[in-house]
Amino acid sequence: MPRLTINGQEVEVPQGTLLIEACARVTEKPPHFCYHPGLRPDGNCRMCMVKIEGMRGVSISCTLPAAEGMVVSTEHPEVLAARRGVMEFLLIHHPLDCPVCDKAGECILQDHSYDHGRGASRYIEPKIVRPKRDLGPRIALWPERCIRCSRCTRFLDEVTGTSELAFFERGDRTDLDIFPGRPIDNPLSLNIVDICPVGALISKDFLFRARVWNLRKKASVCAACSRGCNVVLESYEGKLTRLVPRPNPHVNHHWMCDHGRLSHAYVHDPRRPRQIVKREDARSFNVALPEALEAIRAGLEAVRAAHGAAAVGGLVTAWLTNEELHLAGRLLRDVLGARRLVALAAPPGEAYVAKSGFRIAADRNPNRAGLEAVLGLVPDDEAVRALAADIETGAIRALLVLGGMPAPAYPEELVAVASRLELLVVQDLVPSALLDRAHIVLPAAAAPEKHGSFINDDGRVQRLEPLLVPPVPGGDLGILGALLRALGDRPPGGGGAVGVFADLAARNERFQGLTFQELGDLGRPRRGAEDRPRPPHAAGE
Amino acid sequence: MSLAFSERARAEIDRLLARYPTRGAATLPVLRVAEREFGGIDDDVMVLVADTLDLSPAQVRGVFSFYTHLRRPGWGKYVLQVCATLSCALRGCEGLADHLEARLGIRAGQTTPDRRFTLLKVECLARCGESPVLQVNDDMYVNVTPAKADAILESLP
Repeated sequence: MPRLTINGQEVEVPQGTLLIEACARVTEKPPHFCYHPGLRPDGNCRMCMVKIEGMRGVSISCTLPAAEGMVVSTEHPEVLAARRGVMEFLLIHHPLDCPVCDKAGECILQDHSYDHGRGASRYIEPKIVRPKRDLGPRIALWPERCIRCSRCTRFLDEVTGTSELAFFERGDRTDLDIFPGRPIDNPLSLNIVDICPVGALISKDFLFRARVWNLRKKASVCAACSRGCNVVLESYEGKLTRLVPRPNPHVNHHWMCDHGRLSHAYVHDPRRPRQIVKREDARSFNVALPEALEAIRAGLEAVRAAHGAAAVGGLVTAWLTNEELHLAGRLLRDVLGARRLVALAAPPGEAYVAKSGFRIAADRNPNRAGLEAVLGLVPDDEAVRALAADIETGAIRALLVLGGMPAPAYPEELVAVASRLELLVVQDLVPSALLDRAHIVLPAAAAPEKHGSFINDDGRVQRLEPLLVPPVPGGDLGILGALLRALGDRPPGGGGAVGVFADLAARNERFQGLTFQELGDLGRPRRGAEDRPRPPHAAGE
Repeated sequence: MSLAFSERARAEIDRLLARYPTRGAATLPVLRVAEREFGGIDDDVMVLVADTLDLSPAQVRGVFSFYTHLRRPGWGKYVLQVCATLSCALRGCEGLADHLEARLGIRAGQTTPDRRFTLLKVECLARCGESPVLQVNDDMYVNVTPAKADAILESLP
């Protein structure tokens, strides 16, 4: 554990800590462009210089391990002069088109230019002009803005191992590009847009959609697969506009996949059910929640009176949070004594493991582990078919379908027998044949509208924070709480995510010792799950 | 498209690979082999070299384009490289380049219509003490005057 002095302050850091990270412990991290904590240091931009006593000149802090007895200054006059020099060179050919650049507002070249630049250029020669060009289905390049820091090429070399980008030519002709006919189309490609320190690499999906300083943000979790990558949800004018990864060494490090970023179109799909609908004699009405609840209560009562409690069935999905699943279990098992409670499975996607070890799960049920931990259920289409068989024989007469999913996956068998039900309540995110047959339609909340927690496929309990307002105020948790109340029960812990989670932790040993608040931004392992950060780089490298 | 190295070239590449710590480290010498084998490096050759070395085509193109000394598609039979770096510039390489441009009727960077000559201005060829320097394919000529250049060109088969 070397001890060193930085800006007059003593600090002790673990062996092998880079000087730039050691500096960050006592002061602001030295300004830098090419250094990124998720990539191997390269030391090419020369911006992160510090003065080390006893060493000639200035040294870059991103490649140098902190050593015992070092005396370091991040604000030495030589350092400040060197930074100004680096900034001047970087800006020589930069177009300074911030007003029309997507990156403006989150651009480190812009930030460092304010802090360390001259404010005016002494360069009078013509600037290099290179028009923008396409690099693949999701990414475009504004070559003039590139400062050749190589973060993108290192990401594609180290993390995906696909190396689609390289620098061609050299000197002032150096040009970042793909090989002709070999576009960037790997599952993690959009990360290079995030780590680009300037506006050179641009996401076509986000291009010109919002100025970043107008975005509202919430730290949450991606729901596109069971991995649970930590993300920041960002919205503009009430619309989910962008998802960016939020570093978590236990889950996704600094990255997330393109699928996760781009799989939220359903949230603002105009066909998405947003109204509570009651259908009677082939006519449908928009109704308020109390009227729907009363219809559900009456319908359940009629079925239970005529056929017994066992004539009720339930179907849930892994888009319900742990808290919602806890209320759903209480409703269906404890209050209604349902005959069958089954979970619908999302069709599997493609599994992917990057060179660095970053994973995309084939399992596209985001809270599969929660479903198992809270209700002991596994998403299983066979169980749904068995439920359909029970409906066919008349053993089940009322069915509550809760949670929904972004792509309808109800088995044919279930849809075929749906009209036999005396009461069919369907809550979903998208239209489906089953939804069309429902007596009561309840809009489901999408993941970016939820307050609650998911468990990822490592057993990590992670918080979702609502960025958007769900179609029904209070979301799924609110609907479930209201349903419990309508049936004479009451939701535990007041019915909010925090209280319901506390009740879950008190009753379910897998959640023992956890509180919703203590999950924090990075989550906590559920009881019995491993808690070990993974190294950011591939083993053996 | 189905480009492949000859038996002989492959044997040479295997010998080269044994001398380097990684396959990628042998990019330049293997590009040299490919240049001899195919008479120049075009996109198809770069893809073949990439496949041979377990690299991406972009990585090979990055190395190839960094250097000026590997033959590019469309270059003529004789590639005339006029050094345009400082020492040669002080000793009159501009005049040499202008003379060659006038004689061949092309600008630096271009190839004569008969594909006999390609004229290039390049960075330092490392013979500063005897500047100006002209390199014709792999042969180096020093202290080159316009008259000497004429003689060199006329002597070419």
